[in-house]
Amino acid sequence: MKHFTRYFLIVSAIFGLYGLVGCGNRDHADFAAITKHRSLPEQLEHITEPNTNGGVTIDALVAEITTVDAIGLPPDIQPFQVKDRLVELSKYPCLNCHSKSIEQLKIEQADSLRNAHWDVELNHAPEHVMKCGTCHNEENFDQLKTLNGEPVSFSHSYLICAQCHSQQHEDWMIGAHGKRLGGWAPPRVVNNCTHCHNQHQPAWGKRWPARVTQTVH
Amino acid sequence: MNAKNPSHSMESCNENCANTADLSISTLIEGMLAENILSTPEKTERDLEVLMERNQEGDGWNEPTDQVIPSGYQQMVQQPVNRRTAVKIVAAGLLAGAGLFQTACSPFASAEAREKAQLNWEEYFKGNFRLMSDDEKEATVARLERLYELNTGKHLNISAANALPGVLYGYAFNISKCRGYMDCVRACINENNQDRKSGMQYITIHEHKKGQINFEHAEDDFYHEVPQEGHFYIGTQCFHCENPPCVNVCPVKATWKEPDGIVVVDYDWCIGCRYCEAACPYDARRFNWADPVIPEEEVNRNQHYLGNRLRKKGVMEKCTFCIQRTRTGKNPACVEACPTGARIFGNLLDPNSEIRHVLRTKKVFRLKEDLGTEPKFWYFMD
Amino acid sequence: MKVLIGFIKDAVISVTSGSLKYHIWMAFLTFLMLCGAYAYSIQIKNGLIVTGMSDGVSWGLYISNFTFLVGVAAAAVMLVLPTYILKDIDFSRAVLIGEGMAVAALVMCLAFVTVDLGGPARIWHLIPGIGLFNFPNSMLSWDVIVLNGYLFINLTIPLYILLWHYQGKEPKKAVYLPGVFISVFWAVAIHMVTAFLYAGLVSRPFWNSSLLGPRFLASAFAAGPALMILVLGVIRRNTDYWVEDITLNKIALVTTVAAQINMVMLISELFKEFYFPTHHSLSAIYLYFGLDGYDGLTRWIWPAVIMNLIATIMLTLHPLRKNPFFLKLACLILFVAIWIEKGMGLIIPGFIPGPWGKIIEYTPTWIEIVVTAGVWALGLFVFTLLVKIAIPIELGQLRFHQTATNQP
Repeated sequence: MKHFTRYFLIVSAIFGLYGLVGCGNRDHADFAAITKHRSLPEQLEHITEPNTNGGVTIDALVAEITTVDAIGLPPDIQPFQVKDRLVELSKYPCLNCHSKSIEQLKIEQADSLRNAHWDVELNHAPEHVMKCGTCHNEENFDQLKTLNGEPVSFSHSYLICAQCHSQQHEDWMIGAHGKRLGGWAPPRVVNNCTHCHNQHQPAWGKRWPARVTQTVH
Repeated sequence: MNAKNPSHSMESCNENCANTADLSISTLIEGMLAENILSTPEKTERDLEVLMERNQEGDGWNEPTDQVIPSGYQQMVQQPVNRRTAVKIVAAGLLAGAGLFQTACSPFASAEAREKAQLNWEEYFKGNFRLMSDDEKEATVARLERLYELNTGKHLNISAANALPGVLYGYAFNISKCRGYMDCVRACINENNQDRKSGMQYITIHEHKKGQINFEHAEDDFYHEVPQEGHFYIGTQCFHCENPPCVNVCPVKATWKEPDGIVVVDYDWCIGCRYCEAACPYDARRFNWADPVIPEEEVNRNQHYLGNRLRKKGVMEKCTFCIQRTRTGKNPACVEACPTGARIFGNLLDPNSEIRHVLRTKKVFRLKEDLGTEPKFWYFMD
Repeated sequence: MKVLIGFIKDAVISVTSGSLKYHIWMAFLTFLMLCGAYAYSIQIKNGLIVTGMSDGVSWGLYISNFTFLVGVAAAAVMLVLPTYILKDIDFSRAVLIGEGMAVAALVMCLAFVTVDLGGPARIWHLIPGIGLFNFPNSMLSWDVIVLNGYLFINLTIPLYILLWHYQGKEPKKAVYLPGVFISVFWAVAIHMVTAFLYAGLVSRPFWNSSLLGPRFLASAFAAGPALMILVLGVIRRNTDYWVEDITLNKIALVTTVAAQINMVMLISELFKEFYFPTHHSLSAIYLYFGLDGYDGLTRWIWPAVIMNLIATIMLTLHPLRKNPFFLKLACLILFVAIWIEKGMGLIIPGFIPGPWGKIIEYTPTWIEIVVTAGVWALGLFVFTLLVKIAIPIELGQLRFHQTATNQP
């Protein structure tokens, strides 16, 4: 009987310690958290105050990039900047050549070996949907135009794409589509559509993956 | 446990934030703001300059190299040996504690060998990074930089920057966009000084057949033109779980979750038992089975103590969301390298961040969510 | 103090003198240990790359043996409890051999964990106070505590008994019995903690089972006593230390019941895995039948299962169990079967397939095998030493006063 008490004490001591693991085991979620079952995304929903991101900015990293302020944003989207496309156009201003109509230029250059846009092949949408003049302002080739004929600068060409690709445009505005430059901290600078897609042949091609096998033997 | 006292010292914050019993993140921000954890602006700026300079250099990936240097650890203890220095090195005797100490005190060894022995001695007996004061962190970083200089004559820039207040990093991966180009994997290896000999990768790109998401039937070692017809691609890496099973199991607390949510490893504290590797449900951890080898000119010299600094054999390592970059505001190397924009990174505590927009507007999911690990890594489709 | 010095002197004399057979045996073990040390030096120099382990299968032969030996250590002492309750054998004799075996097994356990570490030079990080001990969160920290505690208990109790017998005194039961009881419960603890080490990992469905702990215990109670029967047989043949047949019979009974329970649990496990195989059954499928053309473990597990079955049947049948030859044969078969089952059959398949379904197979390299052999030799060496000291004292051949007169 005496021994029995002793067993009992020892057994309860050992199992008490096991219990301790159960309680102390989790660094982050105590029993209350487990029973309440509140997940991380649910908790994030409650965080709505503006955040200074620890005071970090990437001003220095994006200083070199020429940007324009994005326009046409709905009120619930925070203002952001778009990498300027216009400054990259090597043949701009287009009016240097395009003072005549395209048909006229085609006739004039029919026998010429020199063709300014030899690499441009329109492979974007069926012919009955799209031609040069769908996006280019044939009245003023230094600009693009909407389907309604409103002029749009090359810097804001995303507005042209947005006419058909509205879902992509929405995603791009919130950051779910496209590519951000510099880093995650403010200010937000993103690529224009045409920085990643060839506007005339927007589909991406196949290629070989980067070589990542061992390089030292 | 979660009651925050503004007068807490830095280390107690690190301890507490990682141990916070509930997941109340707003408490976390308040606590961190109150404690005013912030790396000095000058330091951040200096880091950024270095980062930018480095980015202008090529990565020299495929260039043939004849000079191969061993791991950071060996770099510390080995140098081109001539007969005179050989004797001293033998005397300095790496970790043979007594011999080391003797050399450190010996009046006969050269000043440099003595300094090296002294530094190695101090490095061997230093404590866990998580419990160091900011001064101690700077001291160990200075020692590591000095040791590297003594051994290779080259300069490193190792940061010990603490977590930014009010920041919790999160990641989103767009399955519709990933095309298996593997640029992320390559950038990751370059950025993080991974062993080139074993071909270690933190990121795995899984090539799935359309019609199912079943990782058992996915191809992880593809090398053909991508994207392949009838296939789609999902990348996995460390998900930096809010409730990380790997952290729980470490017997020596060599791995923990930083206040900004990054799960890190103290390479100098890890004893190499690999329990964390067994505990990770996402195959995120990598062990240095041998001394890592990185050609000298490929070494990324901009490092963080908890990030891409050079490792030695017998320790665990893993993705750190490129802590050396992200704590200065940059994106992880994989995000920056991805040509398709499939990778999105940002601050989960900032309601206006891109990552939060994605969580709000897209249909997202996480892998093995049923385990309750709370990964901070989401997947979504267009 | 004087007693202790005399004891140490006599112990040294006792272990350095013996028959030719004894010397050959010890030389053989020393040779194996030296081979192991050489192989380990290669491992230290080049890193764990020289083993068959990889990021896919990150624990191998070392941890397998560790797991198995925890069971042996636990079971050796667990014997003490039934024999004491049954009250029909000389208790202290069983205690001594059992605890000697436990000490040897624990030495091997600690050695196996140490050789498995990537940074053995940093092992001091585990020492509470100067290191940083993740207690109670990490089951490995529990394991470090219970194993070392168990080692301490199992060193002090025999030492006490032997020292008293050495002086010709009868050890006080009030002193060592509580220790014995603690060690009995502690034995359960070391095995359960080691099982929890694996069972707590959500990443490995093969281990993440509530049956793992009980099954560890059952197999340990089968393998440990089986080894005990073999060892007692050797001791009976080679020394004057006679253990009664009835003792062996009792131990055989324990082995039998444990082996039977182990079989029931095995069937239960197999039913769960194969009645409706899910994603979580892949490890078991790989283990028993191979997966996607990889079948590295089937050649291990089927012999183990069959041997297990044969041994259990042999032990269950009274005529065979009563026959010393068949008893020893059954024990040997059972011991080997459980060694495979707890090693190659439990630790390795837990990693295959990996978390994303990738199959990376594991085969131990010669370095691992030699280091493992070296550690086993170390354990046998320690056990032989302990027995060599204990038996003369127990037989009354070694006494304190004799030493005083013999040695000027």
